[in-house]
Amino acid sequence: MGKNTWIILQWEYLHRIRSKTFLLSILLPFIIFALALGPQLLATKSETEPEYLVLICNNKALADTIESTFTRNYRLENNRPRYLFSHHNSQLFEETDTLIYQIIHQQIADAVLKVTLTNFDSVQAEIYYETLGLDQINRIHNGLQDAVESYRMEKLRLNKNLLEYIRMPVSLEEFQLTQEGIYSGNQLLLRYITPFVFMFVLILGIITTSQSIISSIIEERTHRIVEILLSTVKPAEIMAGKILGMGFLGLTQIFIYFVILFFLGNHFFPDDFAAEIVKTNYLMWYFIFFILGYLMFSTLYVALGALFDNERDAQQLGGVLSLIALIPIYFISFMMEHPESNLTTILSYIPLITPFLMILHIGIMSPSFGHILGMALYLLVWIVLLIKVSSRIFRLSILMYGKRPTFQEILHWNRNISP
Amino acid sequence: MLILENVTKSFDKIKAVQNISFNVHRGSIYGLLGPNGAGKTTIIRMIMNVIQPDSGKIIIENTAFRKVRVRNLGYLPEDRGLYQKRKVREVIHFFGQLKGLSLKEAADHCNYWLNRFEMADQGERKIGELSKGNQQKIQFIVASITFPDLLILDEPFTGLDPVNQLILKDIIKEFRDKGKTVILSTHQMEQVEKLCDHLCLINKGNVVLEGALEKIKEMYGDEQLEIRFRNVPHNIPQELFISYRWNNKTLYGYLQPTVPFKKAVCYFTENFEIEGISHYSPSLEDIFIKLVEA
Repeated sequence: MGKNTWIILQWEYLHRIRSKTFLLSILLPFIIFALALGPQLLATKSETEPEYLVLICNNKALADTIESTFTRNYRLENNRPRYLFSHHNSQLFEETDTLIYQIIHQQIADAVLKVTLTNFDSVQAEIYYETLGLDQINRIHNGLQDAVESYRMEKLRLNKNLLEYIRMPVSLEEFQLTQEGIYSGNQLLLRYITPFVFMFVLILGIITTSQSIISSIIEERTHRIVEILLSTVKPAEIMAGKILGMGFLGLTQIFIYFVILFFLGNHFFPDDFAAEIVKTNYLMWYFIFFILGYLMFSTLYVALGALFDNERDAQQLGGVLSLIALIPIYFISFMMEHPESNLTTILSYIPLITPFLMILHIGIMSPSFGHILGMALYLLVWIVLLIKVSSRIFRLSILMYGKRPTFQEILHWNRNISP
Repeated sequence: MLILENVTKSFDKIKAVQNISFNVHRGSIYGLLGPNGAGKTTIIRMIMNVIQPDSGKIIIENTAFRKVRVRNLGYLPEDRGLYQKRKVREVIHFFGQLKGLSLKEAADHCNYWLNRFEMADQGERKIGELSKGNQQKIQFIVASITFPDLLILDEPFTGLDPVNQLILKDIIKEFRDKGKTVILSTHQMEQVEKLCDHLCLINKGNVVLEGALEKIKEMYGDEQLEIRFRNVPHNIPQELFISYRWNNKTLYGYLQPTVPFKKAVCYFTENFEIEGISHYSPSLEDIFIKLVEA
């Protein structure tokens, strides 16, 4: 690395690491996590009061079983029953609909559960409510299923213990044999989790930093700094400095996450869960593909910034590029089901997707060292090529003001301007 | 110090610079003049290796650009701008380092220049917070941070108040006095007359005039007539002049090289009612307008 590249790298890195965008990119996963879990935690905390259910059933024995099953299965933190019932025999009412309407709208109960046992012992149930969450409805549904099963067992005089014996679960312990050794239990889980962490951080890093890379180049174009830079430094050195600066930023980001993960893991998991992550054999390759992915996208964003002289146009295209980083998410389940399929292989050769898929590929399939090295070199060649093209575009940008170049112009100048 | 030999540059079908040649001597201030679109900025960009000529040679210090140490070159482009959100010192240090200075050297030189422009207290401010004039000064500091041997200034006085123009003029002269070379591209003819030793006038990508300022003024100085008529005549013999212009009843004109000055004076005094006739010593601006119009 040349001296100028190093100076530009420092300039870019130090500026970005002190920016609010970087701080946000570090905090974002925690914010997302909090946003996802927060409401659920709040909901759990607030559930200290029982819910009132009006049960309208045409069979008293079934109604009793439903109440006893719910009372047994669902309890609040203070050990009170979660559900309090009020029984009504539907046969006594001619207009149950009117009754249900009154109960709900006068807020006499949270919900009305109407259960009908037919002559053939099939059960039809309906639930009426004004404000019940999906979780609550599912819970009631499960409770009802349990209750009906118990009712039928009683009726058939089946031995409950015998049924539990038959249903006893079978434990299946996994052992993955790879060239490096045997993975089982937590280790196996970690083999899957670690690449996901890397992939997630890579996607996040690309999305959060894309705007600042494009802005940086456009600032140099619109404020005419490009002319001073080009008279002092070679375009390839400028590009390499910027892109490597972004790479170091990515490394810093993943390093911070690992430190946090390590300490949180050690604090919350007694079996050195976090330490296991660090011991993962392919960790080095995850880092390498993480950085290569970061560099690949940074290079593209730099080229984009050089092509456009206003941020709005560049950001639009940058947004589309960021979406490419999300593509692997759609293929995760497919890759896990069919790790050796042709589609997986073809996708792994698309340079923009290669880093993500290789991170997953390594975690799931344990490919050979030669294959991993080959793919890393393949990506590196693409990055070098893109740096050359983007440096030419950067130089060409000095000749373009107030207009967006056509594709033909880009090709023409790319051929005729020396790097 | 700097030699351009038959340099040509085209952009698609537009010939921006055609076969231009000139020499700039060490320790001189060289003026690069021309109307808008004449090709000055293209020439400067080629000298600074921002774009490459299609043909011809550009030699700096007996060698091609890529072998010249960038710390020996300083460039103030016409279109100016710096990193708006960065601090003044940071930006100066950054460009100083890119030009080959150590961080300590860059810091020392930065202090010198900030003091020189009475901006020492502005070092920690962001560029975007400075006035346009002060930003211009920072841009000049960036160009001259290494005290380069060749300093190219494209319209350096634009945006500066008279006091700062004076400071800048003194600095440019100091550069020359220390044996360094300055190329000055400007429209302000007055500044060129006061500062430049040599100049090159470019129009439509061609060199129209090149040489020492004194010789140029001498060459074009005694050809111009100033004739004050009593009444504006209708039958001026236009064939006597290369070009002429009227200011009320006074005619300012360049005689054809074949028409001797004395003969012209006799002709006008004999054939027209005139109040007076004299040599008019043209300013550089007059010479510039005359040549460009011709």
